[in-house]
Amino acid sequence: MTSALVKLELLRLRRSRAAWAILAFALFASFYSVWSGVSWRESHSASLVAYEAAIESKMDVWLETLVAIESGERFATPFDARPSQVEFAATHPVGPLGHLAVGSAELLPARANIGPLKNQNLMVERYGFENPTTLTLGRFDLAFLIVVVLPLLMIALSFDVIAADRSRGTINLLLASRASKQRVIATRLLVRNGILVGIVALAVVLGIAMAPDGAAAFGLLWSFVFLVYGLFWIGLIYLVVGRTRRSETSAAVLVSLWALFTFAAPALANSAGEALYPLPSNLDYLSDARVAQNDAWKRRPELTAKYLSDHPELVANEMEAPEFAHAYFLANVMEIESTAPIVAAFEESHARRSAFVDKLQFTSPAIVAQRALFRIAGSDFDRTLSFLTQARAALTNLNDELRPVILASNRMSTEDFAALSGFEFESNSPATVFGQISIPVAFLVACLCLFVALGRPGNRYSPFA
Amino acid sequence: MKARVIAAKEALVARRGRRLWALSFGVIAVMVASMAIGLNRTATFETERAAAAESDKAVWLDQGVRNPHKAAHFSRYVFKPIPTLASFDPGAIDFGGIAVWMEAHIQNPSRFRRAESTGDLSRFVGLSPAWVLQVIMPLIVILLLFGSYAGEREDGTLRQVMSYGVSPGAVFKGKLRGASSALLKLLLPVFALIAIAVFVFDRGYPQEDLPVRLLGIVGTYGIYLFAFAMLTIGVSALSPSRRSAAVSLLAIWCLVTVLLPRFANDAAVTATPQPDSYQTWKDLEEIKAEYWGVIPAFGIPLTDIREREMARFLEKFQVANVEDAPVPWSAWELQASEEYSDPLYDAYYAGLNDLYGRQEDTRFWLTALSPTISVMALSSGLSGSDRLHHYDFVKSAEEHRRVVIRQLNEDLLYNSGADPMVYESPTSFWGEVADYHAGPPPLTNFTGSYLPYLVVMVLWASGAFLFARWAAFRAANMETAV
Repeated sequence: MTSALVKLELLRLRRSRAAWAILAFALFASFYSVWSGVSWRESHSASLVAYEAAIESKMDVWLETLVAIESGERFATPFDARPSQVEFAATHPVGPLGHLAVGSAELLPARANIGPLKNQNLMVERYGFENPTTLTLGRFDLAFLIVVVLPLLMIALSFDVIAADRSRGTINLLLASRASKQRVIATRLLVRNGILVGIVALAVVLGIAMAPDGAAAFGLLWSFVFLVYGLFWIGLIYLVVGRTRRSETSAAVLVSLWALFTFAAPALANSAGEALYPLPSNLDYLSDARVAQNDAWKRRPELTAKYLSDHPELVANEMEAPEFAHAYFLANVMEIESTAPIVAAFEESHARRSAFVDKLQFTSPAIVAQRALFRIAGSDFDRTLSFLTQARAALTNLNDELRPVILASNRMSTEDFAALSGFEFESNSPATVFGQISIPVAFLVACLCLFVALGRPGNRYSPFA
Repeated sequence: MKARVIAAKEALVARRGRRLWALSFGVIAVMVASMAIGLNRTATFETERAAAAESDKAVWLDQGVRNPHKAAHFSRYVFKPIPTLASFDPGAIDFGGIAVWMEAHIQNPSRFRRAESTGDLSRFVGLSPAWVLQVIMPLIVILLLFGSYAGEREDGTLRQVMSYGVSPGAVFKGKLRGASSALLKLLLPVFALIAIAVFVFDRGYPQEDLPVRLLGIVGTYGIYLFAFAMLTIGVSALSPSRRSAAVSLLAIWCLVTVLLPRFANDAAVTATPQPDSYQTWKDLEEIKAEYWGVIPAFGIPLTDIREREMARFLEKFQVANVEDAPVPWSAWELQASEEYSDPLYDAYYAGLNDLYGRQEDTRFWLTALSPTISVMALSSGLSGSDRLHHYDFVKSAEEHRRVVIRQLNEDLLYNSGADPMVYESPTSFWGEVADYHAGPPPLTNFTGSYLPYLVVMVLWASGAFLFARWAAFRAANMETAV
């Protein structure tokens, strides 16, 4: 019986121009989104590589000068190979599946210059040259397609899965066979949406195959969330079409649910999070940083003298470094110390807001899916925050390592330079990401189980009862 | 007369169905919530801006005696004013930087984009009154009008009306009046709410042409929703049943208001990729270094540009050596380097602006498929929150940077004596440096840029009207023919 239903459904689909249009759109949109994501990834990654190479080559020249000075091949001027000129590139690499979910990554900083003449404010290399108009709406990436567009296409394919038979008067004929209404609906939904989900799944597989090495585990997680989210919507459609008698009612209810889950709930959650847990203003941070810099500038002789009186062994014997090197270094150290409370407050407020959204996400499967897909792809806001935290820590470490030589106007040795800790971004492992997304995704699975249980024959709450 | 009767009947049906009241109530509730959020954001942002500007001035005045060129490297910030109407449509406000550092030698980009701290959820949608009018209101128009012809046909009342000898034109006029009346009932309280909010409660930066902008917004959304109403009537007239009309219109709504704007955006950056931030910054640093050859330029041989400037300097003061000139060469050169690089920065930023323009051109062509793209551009433009207004701020910040740096360089030039490196300006000098006071630019600066979008909107509305008329006449004639 089931195979006959499947064959009949396939035949109907073949004859439906609307179905062909929807499937063609899904095919175009899903492969376009992968292509668009991959081209973004390539250009973004190439830019990061070029940045790292530029800093590295600059430091190679610096090191060659230092070696030449050490070996006596070159006369040292006050400006040559000073420790204050040391720089390291800190880059935030595109996540393992960043091309499938560009998310906030196109908006957030990805390059930082770790050096003693930089402060937290200026260490992030200038960015933000993108067109603000095009940033407003975001990219048409695969995550957007799955979270927002796919449910809509599912609704378009499925809203009249049984109501059309009712309006045509063929429902009794259909039910006169041995097939139950539940089975008819379930079979039709699985056939129609199976093809649609299959098309998007092909794009997902292609996208995962185009990921860099080592992304297989993330790919599996991504596919799992995609599948669960797709099944969630099939389950929801199953319940709604079973309960409503007219197809326009099914369409209206389903589109309303879609709008509620993908627009209203995220917008309200976002606005509520912003209103209840406001983050400290960047402008406050800037003001504090400038007050600290100005203060450090005015107190630089006193601060240098104090440091050197605490460390008389560091007093320079070599040619003095330019004064601005001390001044900038001290100003930056003071800036870091004075803005530490505002940075901590930002991180704390963000953590509170994030915890709030963690709870609110259960109001919408779209929020659950989006957050999970972003996290797995490595395009989430938290990953950038982690990058900035790691970059700040690297800057503080480097300042601690270089403080004695800079304040004493000494020159460092090549051995000391080799011992400096650079920067290596530490990203989350698949196990950590799994831990982060497990409860919300388990919630989606639980909803799905509930839909199945509710839809079973004999359940008094079933829409089919 | 007949048209008026039909319009009255439409109004009666709407009242009896209570759908209009329920939708009006729902829309007003969402608008109030989104407007309150918008007003709160604008007020917060403006308070932050004012506090930051005050703090920046205090730090500047408090720097003590200092070499003016060192002060030029510390320099000041200018902060972008948030216009009143950003409460209605935040447009690209959150995606453009809100502060510009007016450093010597280089034109910095604007920094601190608010969207960077709003988290991942903001990538879905931002709740604003403009968004409600752009996305939700067309859905409400569809829900109100999808049955206008299809319902009557399904119930057999269209044939009945036609059998009384009512002309297709009269039926269409009646439907048109009914739709317009329903639309007005929905929109009037919404626009009244917006007007009250911006005139009474808003604490954004005042816009001198606020009434004109507000009228423009009312007109734009009026045309936009009229186009949707006509499209709905046309599709309804072509559809055999309410179901078919509802489904077709929902599909059109999703495509036009949700999918196409996002797709147009992606297509724009795919056709013309965003500038690479690293390369852009490198280019700007190269412009900065072009005059000096390398920075710092101590002990470095003169570049050709510097040699030419030195020749000009010697000629101006009719001396053979720079040491014999009445003003210090090194101080002169600081201003000369600024004047050398200013047109280069102008050309570079103009190039970036052209690139953005090309991206928006791609988006513009897709307005043929979606009037929502047009209404988004017009709405954010009229609200003063779009990229063009942002670029105007960037330009005015740069003009101010040049004024400030010139003041500092001239202090060094005329007051430093023989050794500008050791000269320190007195504390009182910092108060003489001009503050930034520019507010949002007038709308008239950009009318040419918005005109194509307005033309597209009018074409959409006219096309939708003609389509509705054609479909309505066809439907009525078919009923008569049967």
